[in-house]
Amino acid sequence: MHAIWRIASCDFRLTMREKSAVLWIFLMPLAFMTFFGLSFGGSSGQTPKATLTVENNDDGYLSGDLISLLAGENYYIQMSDTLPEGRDPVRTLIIPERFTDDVLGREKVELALVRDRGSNRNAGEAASAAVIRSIARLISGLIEIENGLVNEGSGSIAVRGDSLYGSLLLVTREQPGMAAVLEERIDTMLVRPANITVVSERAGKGVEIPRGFQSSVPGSLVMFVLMTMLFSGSVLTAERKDGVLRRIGMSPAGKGDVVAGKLIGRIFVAAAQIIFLLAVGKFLFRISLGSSPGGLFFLMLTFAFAMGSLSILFGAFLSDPDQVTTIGVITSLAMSALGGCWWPLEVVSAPMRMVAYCLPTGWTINGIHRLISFGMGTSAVLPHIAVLFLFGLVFLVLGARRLKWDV
Amino acid sequence: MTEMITVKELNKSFGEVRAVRGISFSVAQGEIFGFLGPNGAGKTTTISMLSGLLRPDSGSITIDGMDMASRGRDIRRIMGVIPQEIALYDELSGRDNLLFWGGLYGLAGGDLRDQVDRALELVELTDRAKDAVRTYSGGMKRRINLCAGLVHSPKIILLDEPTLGIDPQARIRILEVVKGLASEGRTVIYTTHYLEEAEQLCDRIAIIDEGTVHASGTLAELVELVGGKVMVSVTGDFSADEAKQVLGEAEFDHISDGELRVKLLDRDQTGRLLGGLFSAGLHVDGVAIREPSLESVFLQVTGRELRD
Ligand SMILES: Nc1ncnc2c1ncn2[C@@H]1O[C@H](COP(=O)(O)OP(=O)(O)OP(=O)(O)O)[C@@H](O)[C@H]1O
Ligand SMILES: [Mg+2]
Repeated sequence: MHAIWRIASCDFRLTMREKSAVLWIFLMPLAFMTFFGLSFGGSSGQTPKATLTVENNDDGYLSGDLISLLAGENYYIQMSDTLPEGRDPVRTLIIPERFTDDVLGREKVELALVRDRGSNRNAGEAASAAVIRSIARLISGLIEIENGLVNEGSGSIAVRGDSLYGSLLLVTREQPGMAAVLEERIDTMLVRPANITVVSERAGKGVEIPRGFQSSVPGSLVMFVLMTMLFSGSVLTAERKDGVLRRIGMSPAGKGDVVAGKLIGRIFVAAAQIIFLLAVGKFLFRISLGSSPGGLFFLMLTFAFAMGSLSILFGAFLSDPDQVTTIGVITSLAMSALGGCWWPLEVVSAPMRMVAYCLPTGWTINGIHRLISFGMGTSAVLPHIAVLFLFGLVFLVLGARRLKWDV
Repeated sequence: MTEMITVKELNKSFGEVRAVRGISFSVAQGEIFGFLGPNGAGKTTTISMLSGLLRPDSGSITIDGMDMASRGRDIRRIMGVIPQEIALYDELSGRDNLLFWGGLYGLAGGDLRDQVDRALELVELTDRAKDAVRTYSGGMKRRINLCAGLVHSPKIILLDEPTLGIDPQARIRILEVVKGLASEGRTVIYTTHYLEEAEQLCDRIAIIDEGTVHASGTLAELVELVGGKVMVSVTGDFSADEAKQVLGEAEFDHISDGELRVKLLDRDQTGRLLGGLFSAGLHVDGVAIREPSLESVFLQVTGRELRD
């Protein structure tokens, strides 16, 4: 135990006293956060205009109202019949024939929201939520109008909205001869703010593609923790080469102590980096850290464990420090890009997203977004933490078994 | 005398290279035992096995009554190893290095600091203790390298060529320190390829070459091996046959075209030897006379010269 602590604290001090390390650990990530934050849309919390294709088979007026409500939901509405050639719709809302007639005629109406396979799940959920919100507003308008009509001696409209992806069921009671009145009142209603807001449970605090600093802070955080960890691999190789590790091996410290000490030293460095960068994110870039910053810290620490173990693996397998640095750079750039540190995973194709989930970076980014963008609790990232821990364990066992005292 | 180190039939190969072949020896407490051998003799490999870093292919090592195979960690606790290379954290100060290496052996707090101060004084580096090792001279690096293995007051000290490539003054200081350690009752194994060091410093010496101990004992015992004879080397323009004819009855250690070595009972016989060569008209370029010494022993038991 004693030896582990000695090795860990020595490594930590050695890293912290190096000027170039401090530059890479603390200052470069700041620069990246700023640069990418500004170039990906500045302020946080601004929802992008995603495209929703609408296939309108209705010839009544309610469908038009629904579409304008959707447009108000910050969607770019693309009508399917004017879809530019060669472009496939990502998600399409299908408004059935006789929509207006059936709604007003109290028939069961089904709206289908069709997702392309490649579309993003989170964005898809956002679309569903938007559709439901719009319909709810439409219905609330109808109810209001009808209440007015009820007062004038008419019937009522019953509403039931259900599943996130699915359809919407509207049941209305027969109100013959009201079309003209309704149409006029709906138009009036639409220019007023909504009085019902539907918040889908999954959607939480607004499902939006993280952008601006909300995206650049986590992305840079993950990328630079990764770099910090992988660069430390070359130090291990250097120590094997210059005889320091041999000398440690001649002390009572065993190989297990050395591996543990080296790993813990790296995790200390990562912890300092994570705390610094999260604080910067919160107080300088004013991003939200979500409702469980503790979970966020722990997720990042597990990521550091996994990547620290990978660095020990590199340091154990390669015998030239420069080689370790080169491979560290390549690996961290590739894993950052593919794992979603540079651009949101929401904008990449489905196969690339699959690749991301084969990587520790992908899991970490997704976990962070769950915590800070979707406001979920720590329990939502327990699978992420488990996966990262497993990655780390595998790297660690392979590295420790391979590690030699010299080259 | 208590035996502190007993090594039996130690073997170690690296692939095809048989670095250590059946080495056996024992060292008593308070003794300085020297390993004298040229580059590649197997000195470092032996030290690595003694320090528990390398596992021998076969053979046994017992230190202070403990078997290396089963109690390696306990042995390493009472052992201080000074590696051949300067194995230190360059960026840390001399003092911080000692604090780290001492700390690895379980020392802490005031105890650790006291021991570090004592070790710094021992090698006269107290003044430079705060500077990064990177800024030290070669001799200072050697001294701090030595001292990093001594902070924890080890009972047994293994030194692997601790004076490699330094000036005579720093070397003298290191030899003094090692003598002092032995006089405190510590057991020392000292490897070197400097004959004088082995002669001056070591109570007993093992001559090692190509992984084998060729001879061992006190300096006197080793000199006895060459029969206390003077070795005369002659080089010149003659063939082996010509020389043999002239010096028929002499005790040859070596003879080839242009070079011969003859053992003589005392150096006064050199004149007669050379007279014989001259009168036969053989051309002589150079003559070297070696009194019975470790050098001649080395030459005899390994069949080659040990060059610095
Ligand atoms: N790790 C290794 N792998 C392969 N061969 C090795 C290894 N270590 C030593 N050897 C070989 O074993 C032999 C003995 O080497 P060793 O380092 O023990 O010699 P030495 O007496 O310490 O020499 P020097 O005075 O040069 O330090 C040499 O032939 C060397 O090449
Ligand atoms: Mg050596």
